[in-house]
Amino acid sequence: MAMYQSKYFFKLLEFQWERTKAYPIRLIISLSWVIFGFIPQFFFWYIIAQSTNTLPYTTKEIILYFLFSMGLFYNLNQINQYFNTIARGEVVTSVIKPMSLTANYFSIFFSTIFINKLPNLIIITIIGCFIVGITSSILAAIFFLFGLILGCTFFVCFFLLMFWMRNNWGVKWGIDILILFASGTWIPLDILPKFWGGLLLNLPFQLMFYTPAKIFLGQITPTFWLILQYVFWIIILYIIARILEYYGLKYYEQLGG
Amino acid sequence: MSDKIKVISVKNISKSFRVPKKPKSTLKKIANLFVKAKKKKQIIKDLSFDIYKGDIVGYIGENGSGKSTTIKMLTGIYPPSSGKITCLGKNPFEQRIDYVKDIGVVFGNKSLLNQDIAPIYSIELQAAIYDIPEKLAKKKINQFAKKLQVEKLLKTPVRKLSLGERMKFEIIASLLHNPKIIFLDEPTIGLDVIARERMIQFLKTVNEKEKTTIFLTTHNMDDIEEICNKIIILDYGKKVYDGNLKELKEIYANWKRITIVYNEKYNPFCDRDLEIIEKTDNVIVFKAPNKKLEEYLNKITNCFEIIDLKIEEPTLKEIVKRIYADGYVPK
Amino acid sequence: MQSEQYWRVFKKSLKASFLTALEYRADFYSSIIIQIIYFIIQFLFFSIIFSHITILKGWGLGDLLFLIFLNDVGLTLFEVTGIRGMYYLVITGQLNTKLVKPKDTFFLIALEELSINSIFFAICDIILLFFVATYFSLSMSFLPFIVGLILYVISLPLLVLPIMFIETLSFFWGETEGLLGIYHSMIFSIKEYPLSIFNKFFIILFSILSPGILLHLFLPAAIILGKIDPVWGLWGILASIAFDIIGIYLFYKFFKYGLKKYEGYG
Repeated sequence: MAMYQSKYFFKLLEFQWERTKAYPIRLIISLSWVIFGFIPQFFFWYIIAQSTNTLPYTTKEIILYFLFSMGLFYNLNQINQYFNTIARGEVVTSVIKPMSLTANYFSIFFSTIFINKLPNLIIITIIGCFIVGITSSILAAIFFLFGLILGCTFFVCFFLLMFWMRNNWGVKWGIDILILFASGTWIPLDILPKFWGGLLLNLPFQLMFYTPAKIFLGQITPTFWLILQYVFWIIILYIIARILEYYGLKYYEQLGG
Repeated sequence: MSDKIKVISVKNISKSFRVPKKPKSTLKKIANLFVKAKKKKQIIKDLSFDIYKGDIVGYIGENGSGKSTTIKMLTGIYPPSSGKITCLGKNPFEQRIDYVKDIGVVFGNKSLLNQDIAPIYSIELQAAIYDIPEKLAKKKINQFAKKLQVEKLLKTPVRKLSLGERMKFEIIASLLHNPKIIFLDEPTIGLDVIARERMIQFLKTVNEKEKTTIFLTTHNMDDIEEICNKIIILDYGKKVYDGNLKELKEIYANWKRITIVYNEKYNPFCDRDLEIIEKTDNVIVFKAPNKKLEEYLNKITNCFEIIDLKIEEPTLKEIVKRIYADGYVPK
Repeated sequence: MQSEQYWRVFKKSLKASFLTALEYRADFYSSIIIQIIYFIIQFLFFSIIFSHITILKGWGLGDLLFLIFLNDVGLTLFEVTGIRGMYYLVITGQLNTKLVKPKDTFFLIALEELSINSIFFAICDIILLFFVATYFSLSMSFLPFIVGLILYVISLPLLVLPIMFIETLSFFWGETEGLLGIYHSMIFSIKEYPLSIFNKFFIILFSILSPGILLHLFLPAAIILGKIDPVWGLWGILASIAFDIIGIYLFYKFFKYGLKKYEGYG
């Protein structure tokens, strides 16, 4: 089973790569969002950093922070096309595969986002090698990938809620805002007031962008304890996903498909 | 059925499209990332026909033969690459907004109705678009819904209706403004036998009462046989037949189907000279030319211990299949 | 008489669109709630920023929030129309169902299916504008307010005309999702910040790429809040009128030409 699933996973990566080659314009759109999103952020944070010394970042650090987090940011928008599959009954094509829905959709989400972000990851890692150092850059890239695994597991949990929610656009948007804010992409979590910063640092979202960005800046050194946090949250989210899958399929059965 | 008033005149029209092509050289492949390479594909070639008021025309052809393309040109969606089309005295493309007031269109795969709300609201919107007074629109909607037995479904969201029920509402929406011509692009696709029959009967009634010309594309030969008085057959964008069903059968149905049910034991060398269409356990279907019918019957009765025998004309499906396979055979 | 007919079609479209939104009540109400939460988060975000600084290139917290909500109104009202989805109608062939109707095609594309959610978002934006103006006691004089408001309304077409041109390109190119995405990313990233935070190069670049960025997303708010002399607003109004007339005329011709080239995909 594990062999089959890993073969399927790598096949999916290849498939997503072929899709990206067929529609290269989507990569260009993705890059344009990064570029045009980064330009105002650059000037905005440059002026703020120059105007105050109360931020725990230098001007260079804050700009690099946003280069990293914005350049690699992903949310439900990247995988939006899959959220209707339950409502439209297309999920049955996944149910008949010899693997769990969780594993199947995790593979699909991870491969979609990974291929989409790969060019950005390569560019940022290369830039980082010259500015912040090779070690920080490569470690940040590795922890970004850990964060991607965690993020995709969370997305699977939310996807499985569609058995009950039927592709609610408002709630999806809410999740996107939550990720934008709680992951530290919108504002670094250590700039927030103590209470909110502390709360968000205890949630898993900060492991998606904030922690890798801090590693990128060399402000956090990866430890075994940090890796354990990733593993802990991935396991918790995986268990939640499997429970949702079990009850979701039961509920789906009752509706008669 | 025909009043001999020409409603549609198509003269020597051709239509070609630009379709993507795979670039061969590396340079062209790079350029293709920015500007897609395209080549010309001719769909319709030098097509001409005339349709008269009150005609019910079956427009048939293989997949990709240009049926939907023809309907789109006749409804003014785009012009022909060359040639001339006149419908109800107007150029459908140049005078589109004025022209479409007098036509109704039902696309088999594209809906006129909003899927999320009850059909009554979409049809009321249609009535507004066609400037039908509200009271008259309501009266007509109820009338048509009753005839098609869907009056109880007027307030059910479209997405909760079956395909047959949706198609009925599509037809109601397209007939509300008393069009002079209705274009139906594969309207019976996916419908069960009863739903299809009801729709065909309804169209027949509309044609008889209002003298509405109906232009129908379909793959279902039963539709053609039941309702159409005129058939146009397309083969790779060219017209291969334009006439009525009776004439078509006279030209192409110069043979008969002889179906026999026989006892197991028979002389296996007997049927060597006979053309067999189908053969199952105890049943054989022969194709017998009309001129040699007696000869065939004699041979069959000599070779087989017959339990049952049936002689039929070839079906329209078989005739059209032969045209697709052999091409046009002129009279 | 024709206008009465079009008004009737518009009323029916509005009714059908409203019923569609209510058909998915959970979606409708949750998106309004999330939008309100988003506004709160924006408010909190800038409050946190302004706890570290007092002024951002001459713009205070209240000024910035006023700018953001003002810029949101126009774009959200544009999102109400179906113009944004035109390229999708073209590439799927669904435009055929509009072409066989005896009303102006562009009217049907724009107004046959409206986004009711966006109407509510625009109303929320307007309410928040008043709230921000009152809460932060933003000083606004009568003349700059009027000049800024007129400029804001007249310059909106300038901002959305590029979107309309790109949507029309789908008649020739098919998928124009890419170009739309690029323009969209530019507008939505820039609209939250006053142009004055950028250096001269980017101000000129953005203004050339889309004059609407300068004339709609920055000048009106700056004039209303007294950051810029209203005389510039008058020049802006004249420039907007000129650009609007030329732009709308060219768009009209381009759209008609596009319809001729439409190949009815699907």
